Amino acid sequence: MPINWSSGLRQAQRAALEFCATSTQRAIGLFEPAGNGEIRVVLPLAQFEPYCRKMCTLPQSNGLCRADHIKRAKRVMESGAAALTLCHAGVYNQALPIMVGGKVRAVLMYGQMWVEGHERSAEARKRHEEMIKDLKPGEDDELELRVYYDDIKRFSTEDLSVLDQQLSSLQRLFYSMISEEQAQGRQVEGVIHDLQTRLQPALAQAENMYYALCRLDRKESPPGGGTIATADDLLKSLLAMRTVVRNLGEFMPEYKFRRESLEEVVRDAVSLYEAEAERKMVDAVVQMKAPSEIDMSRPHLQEAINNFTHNAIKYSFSGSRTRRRYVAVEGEVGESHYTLTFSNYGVGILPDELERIFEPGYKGRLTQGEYRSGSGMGMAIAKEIIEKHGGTVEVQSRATEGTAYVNIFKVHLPRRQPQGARRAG
Amino acid sequence: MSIVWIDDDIEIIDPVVQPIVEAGHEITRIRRADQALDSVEALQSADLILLDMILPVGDHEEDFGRYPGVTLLRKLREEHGVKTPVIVFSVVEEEKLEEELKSLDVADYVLKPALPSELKAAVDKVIGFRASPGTET
Repeated sequence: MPINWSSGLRQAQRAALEFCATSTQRAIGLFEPAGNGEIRVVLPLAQFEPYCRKMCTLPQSNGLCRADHIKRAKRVMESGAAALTLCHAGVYNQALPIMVGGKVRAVLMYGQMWVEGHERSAEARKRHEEMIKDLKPGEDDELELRVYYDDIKRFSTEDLSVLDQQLSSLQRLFYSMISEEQAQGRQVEGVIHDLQTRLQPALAQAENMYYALCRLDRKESPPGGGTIATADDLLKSLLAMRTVVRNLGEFMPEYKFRRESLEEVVRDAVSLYEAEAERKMVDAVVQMKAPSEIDMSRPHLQEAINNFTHNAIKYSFSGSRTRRRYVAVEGEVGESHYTLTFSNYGVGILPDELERIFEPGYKGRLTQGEYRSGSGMGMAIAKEIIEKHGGTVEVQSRATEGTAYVNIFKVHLPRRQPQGARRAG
Repeated sequence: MSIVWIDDDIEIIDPVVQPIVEAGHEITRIRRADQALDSVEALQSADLILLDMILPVGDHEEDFGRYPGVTLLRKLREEHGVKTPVIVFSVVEEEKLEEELKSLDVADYVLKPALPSELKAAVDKVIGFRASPGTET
């Protein structure tokens, strides 16, 4: 059974956040835009401070905290800037916008803490008193709230800075993978390897800490204020995350054909690598004859076209301010097929390599330095996808050692799939 | 015992060998396939090699294929006669690699991300096995 990509990532994201909450002993919540100007809570705050937990047990406080968190998350989402925010009950939370591709994808809020320089500020104390006045707790509950309020954990600004960095980089990684356009531009295998490599130090440090804590005299306070139970929980969270990440490797979406615009696929691919082209001062020129609608399995074909486009840009020689280079993607309508031609002027492919470049892992002999990065899987995957569409790929290049030439990849795609392959739509 | 660890992510994942270091083993770190080929003597005299499958090849002209670690191991075994036991320590998990690695006499395969205790157990097993009387080849 194929594993749902987004749901698998969500599981891993949840495990990562639970790991962060456990290791920092802080409440953490994740908020995303719901698309109608509203905010939805993706992952609820966990690891509540006793003060907050107590408050939430009071029937009068029903929904107040949640509404207040959402209000502050919305403010940060609009401003796009991290902010130390004070809640309605007089406790500080750090709110971090998670930016991917210049857009705020979510707001991560963590804390329920005192922060150096803000301890017992007049405003915080005022809100705390107002909250007690509004909720009218019983005598015992009020006493407990006051004791817990004075006992809230303290954080230094240095601690906050380290946490901000760790939490936002981990979440950015998840959002860059959850983001559909980014996922289309990356191979599943590469994403999994990234995640596994990032998990390795976390997993190793967690276990090392676990054994370090076990060796300590249990009566003494362990370093960093952690406990053996905390380290154990942390380790379990990471091991759960490892299982999720390993299972992602089984992800293989089914081919589902429907009629869609090939021009749109090409333009999406070009736009995905726009920044890289701009850095190299290369213009990507798209000229597509209409109609470009064909039967396609969009996510697959997008990956193949992304790979051809990326290859053309990556292996193009860089331009300059006075002389820009270009790569071209041209589309021709045939009777039964639509032909896409990708051409660039850059690193050539030697005559004896023309067939081999579609072998998994093969990297051209003329590729060196910056051109040699990547797994060498792009062309193999692209060809396989084109063939699953009933199409063919041909490559032309006239290069000899030490020279460059125009490289041309022609992709012939049938405009219609046989009956039965195409899904209505 | 001396261990050579060939991996390009060593700086990031170094905590994973902490228990091995604490147990008194000495670890030499190599980050690229071409550097490993320049260190054949050290590899030959080591008690164990920890090897990643995905490695930069550096300035080496030759094509090392999709998994440079496999090509490197083949070269070490077949061209340089390195017989040191090898544990593959990598994120790569492919069934078709299994046979190839077996033919290159790989002692064990530890999949990343691994707990330091898992890696140490694999290392102990191989080094212990090699050190046992009558088991050396």
